[in-house]
Amino acid sequence: MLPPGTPLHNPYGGDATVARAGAALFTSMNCDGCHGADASGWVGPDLGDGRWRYGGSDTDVFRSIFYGRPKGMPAFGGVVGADGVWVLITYLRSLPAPADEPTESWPQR
Amino acid sequence: MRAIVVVAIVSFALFAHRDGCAATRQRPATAMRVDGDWAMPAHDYATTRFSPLSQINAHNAVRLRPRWTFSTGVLGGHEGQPLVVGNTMYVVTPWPNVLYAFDLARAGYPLKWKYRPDVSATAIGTSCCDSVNRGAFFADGKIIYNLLDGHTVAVDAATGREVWKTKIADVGDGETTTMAPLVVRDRVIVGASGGEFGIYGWLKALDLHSGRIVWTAHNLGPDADMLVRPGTFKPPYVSGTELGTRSWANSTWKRGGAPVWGWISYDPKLDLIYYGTGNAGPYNPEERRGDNRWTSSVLARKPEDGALVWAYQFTPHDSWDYDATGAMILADLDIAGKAVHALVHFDKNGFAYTLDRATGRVLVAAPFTHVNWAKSIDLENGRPVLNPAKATGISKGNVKDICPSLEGGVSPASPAAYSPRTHLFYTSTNNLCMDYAASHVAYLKGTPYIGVTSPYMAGPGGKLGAFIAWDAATGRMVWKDKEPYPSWSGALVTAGNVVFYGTLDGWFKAVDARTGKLLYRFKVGSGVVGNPISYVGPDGRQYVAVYAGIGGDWALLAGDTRSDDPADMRAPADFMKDIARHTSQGGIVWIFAL
Repeated sequence: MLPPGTPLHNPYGGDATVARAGAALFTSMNCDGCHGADASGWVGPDLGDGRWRYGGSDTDVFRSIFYGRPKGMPAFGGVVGADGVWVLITYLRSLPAPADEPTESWPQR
Repeated sequence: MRAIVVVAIVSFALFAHRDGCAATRQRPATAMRVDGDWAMPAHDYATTRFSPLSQINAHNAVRLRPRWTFSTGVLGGHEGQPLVVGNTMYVVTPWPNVLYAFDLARAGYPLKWKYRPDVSATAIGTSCCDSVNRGAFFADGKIIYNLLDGHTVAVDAATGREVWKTKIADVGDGETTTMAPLVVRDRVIVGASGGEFGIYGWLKALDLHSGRIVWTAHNLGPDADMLVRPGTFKPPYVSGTELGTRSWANSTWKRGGAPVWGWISYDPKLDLIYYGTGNAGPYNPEERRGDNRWTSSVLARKPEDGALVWAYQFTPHDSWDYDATGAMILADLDIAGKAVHALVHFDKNGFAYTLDRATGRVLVAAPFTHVNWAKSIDLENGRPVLNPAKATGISKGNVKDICPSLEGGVSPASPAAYSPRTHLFYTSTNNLCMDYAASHVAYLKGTPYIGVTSPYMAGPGGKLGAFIAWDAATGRMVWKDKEPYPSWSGALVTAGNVVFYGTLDGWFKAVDARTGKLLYRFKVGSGVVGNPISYVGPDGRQYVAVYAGIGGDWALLAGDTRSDDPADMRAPADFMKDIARHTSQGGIVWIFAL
């Protein structure tokens, strides 16, 4: 047992093989239906932009996926288990940061 | 001068009528309709969005000016339209679905009251395409509308007090409620969204006085669930029983979609309500072989008991997300010298249909935007003549360049208008195509049930939208105003021969109904996805009102128009990177007058 408040730790952090499994799990759990292909955002927020509505630590992201959040994020802990949540987080951490596209680069019409 | 005198008399008569209404609030909605009001979503049961007012005309529209604005305090997509009944304007916001009542008889239009329902935030994440609301209906002294989380409410129009609240849909099953109800006699007709969540789509009728659910009619499934009764159901092109299960392999109808998220019309003579159903689910058509009736269809029912009378499927075995939830406009047309009681519908699939509304038979069908998934509609059997190169499914891989895109040749959220003066229909259109790569998807209750990757690109010519005038008797375009972005607002046409619409880059426009010539435009602060209305104010003058507030699919696809969430940064949509040069999210009610 961990004392309350102890940060959680991703056992797979940085593992490229696990990240690929996480990409498959992201699709098979219909995460892409809300967060978009490549987690780039749809009705749910972009998950690859390095910004986090409910905090970006491993502990915060674990809680978001395991227990769900208001505004429609379901609790997936009961479906994928703690291990599955870490696999998903490993995938999200592997996403490349989006390119910064300044307004001036957009075409004018 | 003469025209002004006539209008003054009309408005005087209106006041007298309004007083009469207040005294006899129990009268049915049909008796309450007066010309200066806008008491139901599309102005009238025929859903024409035609205003009989003519103070504003093609000559003086250049003198239009904004007269009043109000921030709703909400930044979601502002679809739908206000209502005006007597001296009060009613506005419903996107989630959390606040209802405002403004006093038009006092300077600055202060609030009479506001109603703030308790609406679950979970519903936001169960909405496919933004937390929108398509408007309210006034009947029997009540404002009736849907909350996003699966409830219908009736609110006392005079006091703002809740009269009843009924749970009609289950967010846990993927159902949300964005559509505008229709009231016929003492029946409140409602439906649910959820074509992206594997719902078992339906239409329900509630009792106007108590909110009690009177009947539930599914749009697919067994005859008993669809309220198909022997001898009353006569679809024009097919026959037999259990069409709603036999057209689905392996009982896939159970999660087949057919949501109801658009508009309902009503013909009092035939005593039929008409509404369209949305896409079949999932998006990979190979997981639900068959025609998949009655998805992407128009259904005609009796309002009293829900009995299905006829149904016609625009897109059998929908393989492109072509919902048919757009408006079914009832108009009496002269088709080749013959008077026809018609139903006219602009479909997401890019064809405009003119049907006989007594039988459902197709009389005219022609593309109103660039279409390549089908060559034409066969009037003998009512079916599209398919282009096999554009069939989709996992076995087809990534199918390139399908037109229109799944945003539709027109969005069902952008209803057309019909003028009995010009005999023309007016509608927004989109010029977008897509690639479509279907994938397997597992059903997980309450999560998206989609299974496609479908990037968009501009259609021929590069302009992403247009606003057009259409002759539904011949299936011909009469004029076309091109727009740089997809055109996503509803249309309003008036007896003054002025057409009003708004654009995604935030212009509100008035154009000549006969030529499309721009008469007036004003930049309204956010992209327009709502529907303009027109009414007579307490001062006897004609006003035009519209919401500004980009959203619906367009907030999602061009997420960089958002500024309210520091934790959600997105790259611009690659087919219109520059939309955020011109607009950001908003929630503004605008009122214009001469």
